[in-house]
Amino acid sequence: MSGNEGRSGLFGRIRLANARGEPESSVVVRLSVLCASMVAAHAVLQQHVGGVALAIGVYVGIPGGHLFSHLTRRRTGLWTKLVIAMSMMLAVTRFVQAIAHIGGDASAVQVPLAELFLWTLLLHSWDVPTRRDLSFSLVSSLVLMGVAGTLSISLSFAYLLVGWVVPAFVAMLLMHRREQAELPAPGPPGAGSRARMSHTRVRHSRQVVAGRVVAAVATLTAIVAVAGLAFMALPAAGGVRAFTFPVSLPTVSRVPGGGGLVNPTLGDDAPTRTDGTEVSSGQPGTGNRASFGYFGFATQLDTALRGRPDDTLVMRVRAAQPAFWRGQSFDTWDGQTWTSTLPRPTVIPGSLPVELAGDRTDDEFQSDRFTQTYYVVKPGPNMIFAATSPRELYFADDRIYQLADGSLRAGVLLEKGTVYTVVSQRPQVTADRLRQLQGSPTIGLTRPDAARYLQVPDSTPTRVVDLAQQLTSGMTNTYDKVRALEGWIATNTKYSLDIPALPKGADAVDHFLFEERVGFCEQIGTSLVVMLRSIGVPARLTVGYAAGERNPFTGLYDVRASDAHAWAEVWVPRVGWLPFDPTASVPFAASGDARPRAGAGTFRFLGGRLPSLPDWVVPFFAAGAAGLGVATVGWVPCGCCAVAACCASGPGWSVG
Amino acid sequence: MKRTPTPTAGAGWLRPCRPGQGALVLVLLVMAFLGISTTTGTGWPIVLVSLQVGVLVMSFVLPVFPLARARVEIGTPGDATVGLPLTIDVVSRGPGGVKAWVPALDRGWFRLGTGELSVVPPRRGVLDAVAVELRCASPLGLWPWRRRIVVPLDHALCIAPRALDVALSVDADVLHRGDELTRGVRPYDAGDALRDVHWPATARTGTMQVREREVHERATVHLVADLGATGALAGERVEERASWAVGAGIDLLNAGRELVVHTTEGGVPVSGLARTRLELGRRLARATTGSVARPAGGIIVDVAEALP
Repeated sequence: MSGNEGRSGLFGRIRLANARGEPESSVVVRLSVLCASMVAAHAVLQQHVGGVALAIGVYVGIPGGHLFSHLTRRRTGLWTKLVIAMSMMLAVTRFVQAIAHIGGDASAVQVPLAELFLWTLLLHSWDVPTRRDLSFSLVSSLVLMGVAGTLSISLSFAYLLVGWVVPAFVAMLLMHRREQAELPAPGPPGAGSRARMSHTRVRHSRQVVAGRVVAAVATLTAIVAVAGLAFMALPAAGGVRAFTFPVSLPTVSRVPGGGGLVNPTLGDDAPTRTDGTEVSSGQPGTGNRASFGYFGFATQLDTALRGRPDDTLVMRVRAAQPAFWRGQSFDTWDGQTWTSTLPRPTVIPGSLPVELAGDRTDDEFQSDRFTQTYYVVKPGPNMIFAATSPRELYFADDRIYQLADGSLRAGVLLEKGTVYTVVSQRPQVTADRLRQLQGSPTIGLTRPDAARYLQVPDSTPTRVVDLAQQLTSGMTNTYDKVRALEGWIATNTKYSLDIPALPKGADAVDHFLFEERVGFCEQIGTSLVVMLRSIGVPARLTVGYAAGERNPFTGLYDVRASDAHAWAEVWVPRVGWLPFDPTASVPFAASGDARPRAGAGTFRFLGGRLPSLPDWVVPFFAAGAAGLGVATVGWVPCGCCAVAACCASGPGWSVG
Repeated sequence: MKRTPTPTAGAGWLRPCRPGQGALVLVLLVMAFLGISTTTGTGWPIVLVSLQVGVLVMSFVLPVFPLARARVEIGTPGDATVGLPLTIDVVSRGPGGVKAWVPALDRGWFRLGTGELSVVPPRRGVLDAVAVELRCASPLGLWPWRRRIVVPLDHALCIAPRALDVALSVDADVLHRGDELTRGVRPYDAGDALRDVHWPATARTGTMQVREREVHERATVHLVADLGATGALAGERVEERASWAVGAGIDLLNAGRELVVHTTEGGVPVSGLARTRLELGRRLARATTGSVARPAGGIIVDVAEALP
């Protein structure tokens, strides 16, 4: 190859790659791409990306750019390209400046990056004369949808997704159709059969248009069906290892009396401590308990109290697996009320991430990092929830308090929009490994802690202790003892939110185990803890939230106020504190390694949200489904036969 | 010459082509979104990935059906010339969205349909059947499939080489090589060419004498269309010789010569009269490389000498 040929080849290829194609004259194609772009840009702006200027620029600039591109599609647009290039350089410079001080936090790059993508789409819309340019815009809009999806934590993104899919699909269909239409085609004799269709206005009959619409709808339906299958098969979001640790604190309202517990949702109903170390859980003048307030998030938990929180969504949790989102624990039981007698919480020094102290677990039970990000939806207590054994905390305030039981509290009120991330190290245990841990149940606990978590009031009826001893006789390890007691409770008691009031002076555990045998998580958890303590196994009652319902689309656990829960934490030698609960099944960390499928629980999730159809609609749906089935059954074999006939005829490459 | 064909089922393997740029971009975005979802735990990118998988799968699957159902028949005239437009009849049935290419008859794709189509044959030859390459990426245009079928023609289509502009009739060196065949002279008549004046006879007789051309102009010219030994010349060179031979033959026929064309057809030397341009074109459409039988005498126009 001579140098001249090489140069022409290289430059020729570059020139060919950048060759300006035929201008796209179809207004419908351009409008479809514009709609997809606008929806994608709107989806990103919905995630609080960019300021007012960028929003105005997007809502006005993108349609204006497409209009400009359409009107000037036959010009070279050299000056336009120059202005766009310079503006793009400014946008990149702004992006570099924005990320210069971020450091290693990948999540902080998301917003500047999203802004850069928006600027790119906005500027590019001013130079989309050809179909290929419009294709780039379409791809850009898909990237923007990905950005918006990454930032979105709510189901409302689904509407935007549908609003993007339809115009994007139409744009793809029309672009391919027009590409086909520009090819020469056989025509009637003497009609100039090589004439390009783009220069000919073709009017189609209504039947043809209707047929094409039906075909397009069928294609889109098929795509959605396959996407549904893929969604069921793909692994769920949530990392083996997370790289982003979002934090956000929309308002900073300091909590008086550092480290105290404040729960505005309890109003005047909140019990208060009298030792002076903690402030009232209720805010003065807040009135009665909010419908989503849980009385367990206070310094005392009275099992005689009735009334459960409603289904208000209180927070969303991003995590790879379900777990208990632990709030705090109680150590002292008086027969009716739990109280936390732990010493004042200590301030944890350090910057992000805040390193947290935890149980000393043997190396053989050390686990991988389990990252959880909490998105507060409703203002609640200043508890920082975390799965068992939190090790790192990413929080947007430097006043973090930790109690001796590992519970965390913020120095500020946790308002709506607060986001924090916790990295826990849950012990990697299985039932078999726990059974192998023999010896005294208090190994590893200090003497004061052992005394604290074995405390049982003298008033505890003997039959409670006798029952516990009877059920665990002959058992030599903590795990079997816990399971035996759990099994008895599960078999002989019933879970119910509707229980009669506790008689005055009655022991709550005795009343639950031997009288009513009906109760909810507070009674069940308390009974387990008291029975364990009575046979010498350290235990404590813990409150927080159950995992909640996993939203298969956002990948987040929707935690509702009704998920507020109480369960037992049991000390297991060499492992540490482990949660046990006979009413909620949350697996051990080691047994929950397998990541769920992305679509797991989709039908159950949707079933609870779709409105129930009126009876008269059902027959129409049934008829439609039957028709679709018949059409599918008839169409698929025909297609398969045609394919088989072609394949069976053998290759046809002999003549060229 | 032409007929109206009826569509028949074409045979041929269905094969996927390389995915288009759009499909590759989608695959890259699928990988990117999966990575984002894995490292951040966000769920919506998984939904987007699922949609993209749906688009990719259906883009891969859907083109098979129109391609499998396509039926094509092609009708052609009997003769054509390389590089000159030719109208063919195309009859097809099946769903739309399929494009076709007949490599032997044209260089470009056309949308499959029924009617007349103007094509420009790129190569000479004789075709009893044509291979038709069908391609379909509908409805989304991301991942095309192809199917190559052989469509028989009801009669052979001879595609003659494109004639080069050759002017042998005024080339004395070539055509007057047989001057020794001149039998005599005659007195000059008005209109005789000056180059035919026989100056020695004119000097001897004292009157203007011209050569007796009658015998010369009726002489048979042997056109030796030697396209080279098999594999000896590049394809373009072979076609150039064929085009030159046609150009020379046409020029000779225009000059009123009796033309004997010597060619090789399928490795067998063939010699025969070519009375018309059509016959000449058909002979050279069939001509292949190989050894050519050369005449012992007479006026010989050898392509190999003109284009060594």
